[in-house]
Amino acid sequence: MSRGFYAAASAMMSDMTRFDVIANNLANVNTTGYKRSQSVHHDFREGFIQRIHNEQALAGVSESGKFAPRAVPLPPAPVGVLGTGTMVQSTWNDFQHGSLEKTEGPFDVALQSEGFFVVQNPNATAEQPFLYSRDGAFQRNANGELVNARGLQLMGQRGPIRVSDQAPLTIDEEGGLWQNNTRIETLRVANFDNPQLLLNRGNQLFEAIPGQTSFDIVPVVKQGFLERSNVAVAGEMVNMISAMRAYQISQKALQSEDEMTDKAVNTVGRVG
Amino acid sequence: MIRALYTAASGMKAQQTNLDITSNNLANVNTTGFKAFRAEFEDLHYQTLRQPGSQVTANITSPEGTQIGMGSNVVGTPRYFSQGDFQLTENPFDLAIQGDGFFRVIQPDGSSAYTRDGSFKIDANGSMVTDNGYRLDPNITVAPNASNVTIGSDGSVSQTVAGQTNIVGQIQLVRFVNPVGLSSIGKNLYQATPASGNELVGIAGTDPGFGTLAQGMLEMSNVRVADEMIRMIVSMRAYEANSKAIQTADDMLQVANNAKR
Repeated sequence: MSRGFYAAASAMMSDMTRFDVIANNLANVNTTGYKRSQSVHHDFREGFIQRIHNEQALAGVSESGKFAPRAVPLPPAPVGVLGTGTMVQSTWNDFQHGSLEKTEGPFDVALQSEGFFVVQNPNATAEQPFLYSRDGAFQRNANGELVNARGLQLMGQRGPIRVSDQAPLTIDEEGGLWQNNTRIETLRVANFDNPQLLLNRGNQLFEAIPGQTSFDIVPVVKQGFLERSNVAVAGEMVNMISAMRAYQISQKALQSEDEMTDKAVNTVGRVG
Repeated sequence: MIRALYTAASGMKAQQTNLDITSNNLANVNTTGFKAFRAEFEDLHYQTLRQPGSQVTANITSPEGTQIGMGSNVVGTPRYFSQGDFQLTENPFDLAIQGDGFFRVIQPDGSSAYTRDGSFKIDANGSMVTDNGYRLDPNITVAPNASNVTIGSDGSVSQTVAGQTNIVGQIQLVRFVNPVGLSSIGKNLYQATPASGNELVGIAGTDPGFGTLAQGMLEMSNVRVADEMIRMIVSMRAYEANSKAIQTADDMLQVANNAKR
């Protein structure tokens, strides 16, 4: 039917998805180490509009010698482009740092630099042995290993980090773990050339996609702090209002299309 | 119907739990030996509409994917086992542990429980018991006519009966590799779980990590009111933001319904 229907409907659908992403950001406004996502919208491929019955009038003379123009059919000619709607092209994570909260937990660490803590992958494969996270709320489990809230082991340079319970643990700025003035291990902090490619796994965990390789960096670490979510409520509220209004505008466009169709169907053809 | 409704509802539920925990901390601001809780959140599953790095054409891969999150959830409520402040009571059976140890007591069903609350009393048999009447393990009994009961920083209990001073017992402390893994059963008591590991028994002051005992003192709650107030404000505002998201989702549904007149 009318192209406008589908253009308006596609805009409503993509605004709804945009709003879903905003709602998820707001739901995670207190989630430690959460990184806000944002949807990216893209117009559909533009359609060319062509004049199909393309004719050209040529001067001619009829058999009786009178002037008579003659219609010569031509191949269809483009008259311009027409947008056909919009869609959500992708979502990306905003890896801007969140603010730090002082907790004084002995196994709470916050990254002040780029990079990710490396934790064990519960469904480890040879290609993806690890998952990556900015959430630094760790605990020492019954085996003395540092684990996250889901029980996944935190990795050091030499594998899972094991901490004795006989002495307090100090973590220096570069991620060195110290007990009794001895450096027992160093935190492993990994980074990526393009962190946008990382897949959200939930639980503040990111998974590298096939072919994406990490490299270890020397981080800036703060013990006794946690990185809060980087969601700013005011910004999300503005985005929410704008998504809502855009949705309304598209609905109005849809209604106008409907009115026009109504006129075409019920009024134009009426006799008397 | 619409994802955002449930996403925002999960956020409200998580913040409600956050407030529950904060209220419980504030309610226990004067509970002897109480250790503050904290709510930890996680983001939920993601609906992956398009994988990042997927093929756009034969030689172009997309630089990012499309993933829609499904909200947040409380993943755990660990306690903070930091040292509470000490309060001087001068009651001879009040004990405070300065360090990581716990007292072990026997519950009526015979199983062990652990506590940091050292406000002990003497029952009719002369045994040292908690406020709920649970005996210390091993049991410490003082004579009815004893005067001047002294408990050393190592937990040795001595009494003076008719001018004679003798040692009546030794208070043992226990410790856990992961005290956060202990399960709280109320009445200031904890129970061991596979997460906490097995109890390690030791003597205060002698074995490392157990701490020392202080007689005539009590360990107060480690809840810090200012921190809890801030947490309350933050969870309240987050709750509000999520309720606005639900309202907006509702408005959008209304707009969608009104498209058809």
